[in-house]
Amino acid sequence: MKEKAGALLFWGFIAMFFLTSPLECDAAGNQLGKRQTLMKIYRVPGELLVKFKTGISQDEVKTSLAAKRARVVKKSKRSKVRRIKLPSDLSIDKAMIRYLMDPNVEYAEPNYIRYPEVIPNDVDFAELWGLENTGQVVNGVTGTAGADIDAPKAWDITTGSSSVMIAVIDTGVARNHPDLNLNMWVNSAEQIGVGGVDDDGNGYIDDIYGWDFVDNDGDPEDYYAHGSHVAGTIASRGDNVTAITGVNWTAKIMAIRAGGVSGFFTSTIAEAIYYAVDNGAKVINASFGGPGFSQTTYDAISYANDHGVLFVAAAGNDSSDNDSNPFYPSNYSLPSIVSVAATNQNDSMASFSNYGSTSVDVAAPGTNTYSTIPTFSYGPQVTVYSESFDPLPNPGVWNVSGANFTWDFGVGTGVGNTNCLEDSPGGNYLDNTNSLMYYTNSFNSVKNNRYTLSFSVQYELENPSDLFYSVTSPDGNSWWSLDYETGNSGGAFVPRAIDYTFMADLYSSFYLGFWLFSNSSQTLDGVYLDDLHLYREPININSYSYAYYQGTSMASPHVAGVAGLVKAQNPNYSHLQIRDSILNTVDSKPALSGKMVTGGRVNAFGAVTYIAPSTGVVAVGRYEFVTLSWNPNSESTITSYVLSYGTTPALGTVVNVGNVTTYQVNGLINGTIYYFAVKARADFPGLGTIEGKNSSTVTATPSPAEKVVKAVAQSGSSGGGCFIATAAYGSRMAREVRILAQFRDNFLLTNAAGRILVKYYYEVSPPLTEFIAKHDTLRAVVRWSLLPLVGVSWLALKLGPTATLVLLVLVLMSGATVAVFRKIRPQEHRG
Amino acid sequence: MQLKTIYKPLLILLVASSCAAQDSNHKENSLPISQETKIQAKEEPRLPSLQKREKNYMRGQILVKFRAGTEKVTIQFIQKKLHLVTIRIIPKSNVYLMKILNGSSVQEVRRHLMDFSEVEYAEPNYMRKGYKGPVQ
Repeated sequence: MKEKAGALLFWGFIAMFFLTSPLECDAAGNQLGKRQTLMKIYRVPGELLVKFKTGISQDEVKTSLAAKRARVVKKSKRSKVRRIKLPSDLSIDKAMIRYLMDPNVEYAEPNYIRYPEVIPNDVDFAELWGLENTGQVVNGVTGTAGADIDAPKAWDITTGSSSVMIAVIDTGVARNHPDLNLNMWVNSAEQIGVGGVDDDGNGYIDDIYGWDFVDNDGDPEDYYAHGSHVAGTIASRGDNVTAITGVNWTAKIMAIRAGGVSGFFTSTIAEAIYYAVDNGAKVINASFGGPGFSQTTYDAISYANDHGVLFVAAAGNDSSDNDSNPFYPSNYSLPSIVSVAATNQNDSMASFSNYGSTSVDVAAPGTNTYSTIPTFSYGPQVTVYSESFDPLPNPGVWNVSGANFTWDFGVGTGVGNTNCLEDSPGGNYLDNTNSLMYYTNSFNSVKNNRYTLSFSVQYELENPSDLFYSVTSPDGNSWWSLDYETGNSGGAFVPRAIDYTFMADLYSSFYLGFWLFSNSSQTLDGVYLDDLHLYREPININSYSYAYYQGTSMASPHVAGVAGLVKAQNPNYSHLQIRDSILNTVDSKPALSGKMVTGGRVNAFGAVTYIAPSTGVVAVGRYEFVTLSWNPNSESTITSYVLSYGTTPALGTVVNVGNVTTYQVNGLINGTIYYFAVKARADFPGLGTIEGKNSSTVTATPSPAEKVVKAVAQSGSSGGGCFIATAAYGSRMAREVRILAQFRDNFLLTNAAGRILVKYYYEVSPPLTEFIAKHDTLRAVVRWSLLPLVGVSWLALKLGPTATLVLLVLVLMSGATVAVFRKIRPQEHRG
Repeated sequence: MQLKTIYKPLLILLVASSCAAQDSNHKENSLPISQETKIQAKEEPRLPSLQKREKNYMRGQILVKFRAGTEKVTIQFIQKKLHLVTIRIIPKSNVYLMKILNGSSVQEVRRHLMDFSEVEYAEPNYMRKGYKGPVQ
């Protein structure tokens, strides 16, 4: 019975050799060199293309190839070039030399791999220098090759995903633009729902295409073109034979209108952010900004951060330092914000761009940016107010206020000798005039209308000290200048037109008026006003087109677009990982150094192929081994992890451990400090393998024998060390015990089956151990029984598992042969 | 035209500052009001002030965040006392966008609001600019 048990244990160990050896071979067979960030394969491994000289016979070719142990994979009938498979022990470079020295060979070369860089078929792609800059002339400006975000290389990896939603908080988006419409987000719950009902319960009724927080309705149309231009850079539909492509060929653009002609407001911006976050956006682009810290906006962006939404913001266009002149929202100190400056076609900082060594993160193309816009038509025209002063208006319709004023109606001095409004009928204006003439009633604003005040004016004023202003007011108290005149109009009425659109956009109503200012040095004839008309014209989207804009407003969407690509490539990435992928892969540029945190311009290819350093690495020292564990990387393309370790921080040994997140390093010296670091590897189809950077280095020290107890205990067993052997030999430090422990650690604990065996052993052995320890005879028997096991273990440790196994098989076969021979011999005697 | 282009910003600033100076010089004086003219001066004529348009925040509006748990009646009381009316409540933030009805400045109203312990903060409704500058 004991013999059978011993045999079972023996063959169990033998089986373990098979289980453990592949891992060891794999680890040994994947020794890597120094860290490489990109291992792109440019030559087919183990192959050459060889062309023999004309006139060389088939036999000579065969002889030549046979001498080099080569095999023909394929022969081109047309070119006569043979694709040769090399013997496994011959490198391409060495084979090249051998073939080129062969007098029968015309040439030999590697079987090169060429990788495509995807270029979309959008006909105006050459205008998009920010995506690919070949040094082409764009809008009259010559660029520098490579001063771009490497979009075509990134598109080899991903062209975006319709599952990635990018919110454009802006002046709205022209959702019917032919280069945008397929990428616009549509709220299907509202689209198929009931009109006038908040079908999806998000607090907004009929928000089918997003929301307009200016007019508070579900029509975030763009009446200013800014937002449409931004959206086009992020995700104009790519490869659709239509003008341009965005950084993303495919994505979902969520249109949110938070501003118009007059600008954006804290109130609309905050609401827009909450809306974007709550309705599924993963990236927000904010191509706006200004001075003044707003807690309301800060809280809204914090909300986005808490919900995993990246916030990409323009750094501003004042050529100023944001470190000393904060520009919001890009300056808010929140981890989810990426602040973007602008570069030009030559990778220099754009002249208008703000910067900041601590407050601006990265730069992106922002000049001469070609993108989608709506074009507008206006009308039909509506006359809001008209005044010819013929007949003279009723008292009280026009009011005057100020100092030293002489405003009054003039009879027969207007256009065509009609009546008009004068500052000084019948004479000159007064010294030190500071007076306002205004229309008493306010005008109600109609949104999305263009307002124009036209009038005729004749003037003679001391130049440049005396001035005639056209003014407006939201409340009749505070007056703002819109335009002014000084000097003279040549004794004739001249037409003037002033754009009041921003007032209508900003306020529900507004006033209009005129202001005269003079000093004390000279007075002249003054001002005559006639034929005032205030018109409004509805702004209509007439058609769709493209235009060149520039600003950090155009740089920011390049980065938001790259963020979209990264999210498409790595759906499990958090917003902070997206941010890291962008900021850790910039193209460093001398012109940007010291101007921003990264000192570089964004690179889309780098961002989508970024492999984050592994995190959560823990190393625990055991008896002559160390167990390591780490967090799995989030990249979708991870294929394996590489462990580097050594007795110095230089980490001399590098092992590919496969796609695991725990690993055990054996054969270490107790009491020695070991350094460890882990990095992930990813395979990109058609491109090759890319490695991330090493994790931060951790250390562990293998411990003396008692640590094995802890190791095994932690592995799930209830026992201690090699109990039976220790009891039999009297000490853990006995040579035989240490050999068995090493065998266990090196060959059994390195695989699942072995660990189960060890665990079972530690569950059943303690009672036996106590019994054995109390009986000397039994101890001697056990020692004798363990001898074969100790011997096999020693062999395995010295020779390795494969050699030991071969040796054992040979021994067994010899034994079997002897046994058979002995069995036959007696029969022969009997016969 | 060139002169106009060059001096325009300077002149606007000059006028604004001059007006302010003249305002302060004449505050004690009553203005002469023409009785013959058909143009009506207000009964209590004010010295107007020509200003550079405020581009940083929305005049006549203020954002107010009330502390969690502030009762509606308290908010209404504060509104009435400071001549405010709610335009919108920003969802999820408990921030009220309010209109200033009595012509007080944003900063003045903000000071008064901050006297109430129920107000967590009050701030202008800042304006932000999008920029689509002309190409080079």
